[in-house]
Amino acid sequence: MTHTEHDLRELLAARSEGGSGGAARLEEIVTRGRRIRRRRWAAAGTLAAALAVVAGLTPVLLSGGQGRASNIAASVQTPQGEGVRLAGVRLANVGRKEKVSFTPRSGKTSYRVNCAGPVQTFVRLGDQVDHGRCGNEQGREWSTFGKLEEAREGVTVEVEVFTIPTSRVPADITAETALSREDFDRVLALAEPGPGLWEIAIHDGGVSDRSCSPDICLHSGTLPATKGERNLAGLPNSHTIESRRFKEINKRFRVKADPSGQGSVYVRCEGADLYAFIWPGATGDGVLAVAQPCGAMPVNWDFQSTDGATVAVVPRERVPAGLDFASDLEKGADLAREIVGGLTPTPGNWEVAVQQWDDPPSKVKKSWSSDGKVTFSFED
Amino acid sequence: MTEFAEYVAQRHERLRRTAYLLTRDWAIAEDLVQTALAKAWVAWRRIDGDPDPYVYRIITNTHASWWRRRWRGEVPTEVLPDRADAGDFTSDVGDRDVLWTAIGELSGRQRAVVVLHYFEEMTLAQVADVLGCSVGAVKSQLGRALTRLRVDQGIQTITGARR
Repeated sequence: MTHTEHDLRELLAARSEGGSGGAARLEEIVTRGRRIRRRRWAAAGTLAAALAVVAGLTPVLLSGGQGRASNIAASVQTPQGEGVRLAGVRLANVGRKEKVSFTPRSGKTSYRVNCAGPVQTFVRLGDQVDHGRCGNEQGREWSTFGKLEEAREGVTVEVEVFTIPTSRVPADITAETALSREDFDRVLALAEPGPGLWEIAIHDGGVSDRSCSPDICLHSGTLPATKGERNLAGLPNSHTIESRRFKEINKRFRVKADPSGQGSVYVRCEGADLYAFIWPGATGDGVLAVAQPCGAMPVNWDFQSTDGATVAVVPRERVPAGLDFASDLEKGADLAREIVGGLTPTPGNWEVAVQQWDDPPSKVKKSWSSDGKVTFSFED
Repeated sequence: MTEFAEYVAQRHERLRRTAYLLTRDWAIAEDLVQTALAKAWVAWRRIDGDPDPYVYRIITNTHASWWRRRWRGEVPTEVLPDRADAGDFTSDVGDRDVLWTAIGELSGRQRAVVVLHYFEEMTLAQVADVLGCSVGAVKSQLGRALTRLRVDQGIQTITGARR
């Protein structure tokens, strides 16, 4: 028995008629699509993180494990896949929407949001709404990153972005929730402006997880951001050689480190009601290095050389108003020791990181404005 | 309505029918189309011109990967049993059942070639583009498929006139 092509056509047409299912479920398709994209980016992020870890560890391993080799700066390279920065914004407020305008140069535009956190980030461009956790949470540093699908080459667009404390995110929004434009507005309406350091970088091409300002990613530092661009804070490129998280305030802690040359100590103690002290060296016997109220920005001390730092955080109310720690550093150190010594340790979360600069000292120029603001310039 | 939503609204039913012919199961067909459209949504901005070839490519590739998973470890039938001797099928319905059964026993790639060419009315070059192979390979697959289905291309005109 033989059939004809006509039989075949008729059969295929007849057999494919009917069947249950009906209309397309667009919402489900888009939800699946977002899940696919998230998985792809997660996979890409894992790869980027692995590359970054390798890139970060290589000089340490080569130098004998302590990261003190003088050729560290020469060993640091731009992360693979890093594109060119199109735009970047750094903010010290959460709960407020920021608009970032840029003109895509190709079909691949990526973004990355880094936060001190813990917060959730919401990013909107056209119908694309992404969200994710960001900042310090569960002992890890998180970033929100992805591709801006709606960005088209040569067409200037405006990305809307905000961060909100994780505790204020509605329960119906989980990591798997596909968000609409209305969801973005709904969550923003729940946000209350407050202090919190975060930044968004938008790149043509990829954006690695080392494109993070060192005062945000305290526990990893940063590599040269991209093709000549600096991290958004304009700080020297650096890598973390020691970092600790503490659960008590009103107590001095010694943080040993063995940097080679210049570096920075950061104390993150967010909250308007806290105050931080930093003494140079792991023994904390010397003069006071920094005495400063905590806030969105970490308390920072840049050193020429040190074997670590001694740090303490106390309630701001326990530091008498108008007390001058700076004019007489020795007296200031004694005052600070007295304040901390007179307090009883109590629970409180804060953290400290010691970072070594990867930029050669000869290339970093530090200057102070009349209002005490520090700026860096570089001879790249 | 966005461009993607318009495409889905216009093409979903047709894609679903094609997917059914590939999978022969409406539930799996529905899942296949949803999966393919979700993948297409991810890449939508990168698709230039007619999205159909891209979407059909996703459908056939996804189906092929599902097929491989489904059939891994099993021995495919090399030669179809001679259905012609299985009974005296003289009616159209009987003939079509035999043909439908035979289509179900084609390899995944052969079935895709048959469906795209005879149901979607694609040229062999278009089929080759969707399947990512040469026109020669498509001709070869089609020839083998038609032989197994006992479809005689030579009597098409005569049969068409009779009907």
